[in-house]
Amino acid sequence: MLFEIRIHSRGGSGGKTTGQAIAETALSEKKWVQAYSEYGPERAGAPVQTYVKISDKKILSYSGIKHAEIVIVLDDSLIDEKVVYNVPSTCIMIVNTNKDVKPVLKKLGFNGYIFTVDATKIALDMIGKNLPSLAIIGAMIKASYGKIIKMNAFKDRIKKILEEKPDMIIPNIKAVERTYNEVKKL
Amino acid sequence: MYKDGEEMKTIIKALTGNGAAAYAMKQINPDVVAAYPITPSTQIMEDFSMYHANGLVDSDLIRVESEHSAMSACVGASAAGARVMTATSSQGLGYMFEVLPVVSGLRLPIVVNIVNRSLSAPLNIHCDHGDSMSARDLGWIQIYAEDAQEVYINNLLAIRLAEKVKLPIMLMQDGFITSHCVIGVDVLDDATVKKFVGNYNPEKTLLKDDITIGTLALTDYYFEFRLQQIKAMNEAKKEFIKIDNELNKIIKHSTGYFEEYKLKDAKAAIVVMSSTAGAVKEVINDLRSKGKKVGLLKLRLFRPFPYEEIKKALKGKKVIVMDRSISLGANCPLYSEIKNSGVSNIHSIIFGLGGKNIYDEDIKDIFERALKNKLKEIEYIGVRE
Repeated sequence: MLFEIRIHSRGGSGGKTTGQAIAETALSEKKWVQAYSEYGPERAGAPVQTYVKISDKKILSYSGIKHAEIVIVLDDSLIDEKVVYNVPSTCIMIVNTNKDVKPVLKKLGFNGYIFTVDATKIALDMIGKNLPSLAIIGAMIKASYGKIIKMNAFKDRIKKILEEKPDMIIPNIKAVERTYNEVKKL
Repeated sequence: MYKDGEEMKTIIKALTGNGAAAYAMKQINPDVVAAYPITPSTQIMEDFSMYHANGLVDSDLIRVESEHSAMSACVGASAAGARVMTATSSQGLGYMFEVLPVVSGLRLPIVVNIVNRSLSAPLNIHCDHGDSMSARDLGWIQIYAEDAQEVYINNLLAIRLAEKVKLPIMLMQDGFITSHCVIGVDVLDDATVKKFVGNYNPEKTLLKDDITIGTLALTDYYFEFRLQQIKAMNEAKKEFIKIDNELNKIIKHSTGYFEEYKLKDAKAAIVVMSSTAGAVKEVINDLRSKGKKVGLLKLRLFRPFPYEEIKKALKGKKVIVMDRSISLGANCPLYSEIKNSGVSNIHSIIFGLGGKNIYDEDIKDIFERALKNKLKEIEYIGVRE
């Protein structure tokens, strides 16, 4: 079974970190993974798409993803045709926002499941910085019922990812727990 | 050196292709690394300088002001008897060009990771093989990797091979596709790598022996020097297999000059290098499930070129050679070589220049048309006329 995830972010805002953290966690759960970002000229703030593939067997093709079963939008100003491109009707969309994004997503023709969480505020509260890239994964774990990656495996991974910034580990784990608990299904 | 049945000690790490090259370099712990980073190979030097700053390697890391200087620094260090590595891409390799035949002519076993990127103009940072292909006739061994796993393996292999035959080696991986994609890579522990690569004990060096390196050889001896390089390349072909098999005992991988994927009974076969091979395998699995006999020959070793072995493997098949680079005014590099090996029923597909995407559907279409004899001799895939 191949799972495909697409992450929409802005250059420098951590979408690549989100993708890599999901992939590393899946890897620690003995899955096969690929995680990569679509690159262009390197500019902070430019829209960047990151892709993650997770599978029970070796992933051979490096071609782009076909159906994004999960879409994560780290910045709600990026909501346009691109976030609803090539999604199945069962798609789970997780948006970092404090707004009601349902009308705009419906207008774009999105028929899947919409989940929102204010990961930016949570990151500011818990970490003291606008770094929601790890925090948002808590919401994804909740929205996907832990079927992509498990919470415990992810928490273990955070400890590894932030090995060299040990004072950031607890705040990030707390932020992840909050997005897990506070994510809303629209 | 290693006993059969000895337990392999690998762990899985999440690494990009660049990360895998840097991790291998960390474990190889070269004496000297000269660096002038360029997209998309930059992360190799970022990672390596982090290992250096954290004291995990004791290499001399020389920061230079250009690629020409990077390769020149490598020449000096290697002539002095050091184990030397560096990395580059595209125009960076272009700027090293003047020094490249000096390295091979001086028989210095320098290993360079090349992250394939198209050449300017127009300016482009994405993958094609135009950079390394334009350096194919300069006396360097060339090995191409399908994914980050092979990048790691090829680095270990290359150190031993280069030093054994006294020839420099270029190790290729696809820019962004491989270099920036995180996958799980099986890596060995440091001690095993250290044991495998051993110490570098050059026969003669500038520092220890009374020798001249970089001498003048006009009409009297130049040709003789070149003949020795030809012989060394022939030797490299034999040594490649030996060292590759030895490495396979400590880390399992697809060994040999090329990988055959469902090739034996295939009626139509694609020949391709690097990351595209993965997509071809996926398409083959799909078409095989529908009873279509298709296969793949994924070439690893491009220089020296294994003509006889390839001719044997492709005998009687319809062969489709996919090139990710062109030779303007002539046949494509890979296609030319496959044709030279004596394969007759052969087509040339040119794809992916400047990073243009190739999709599984494109490959499927190529196979299906080939089976129906509807493929032209030369085709360009995914380009607007």
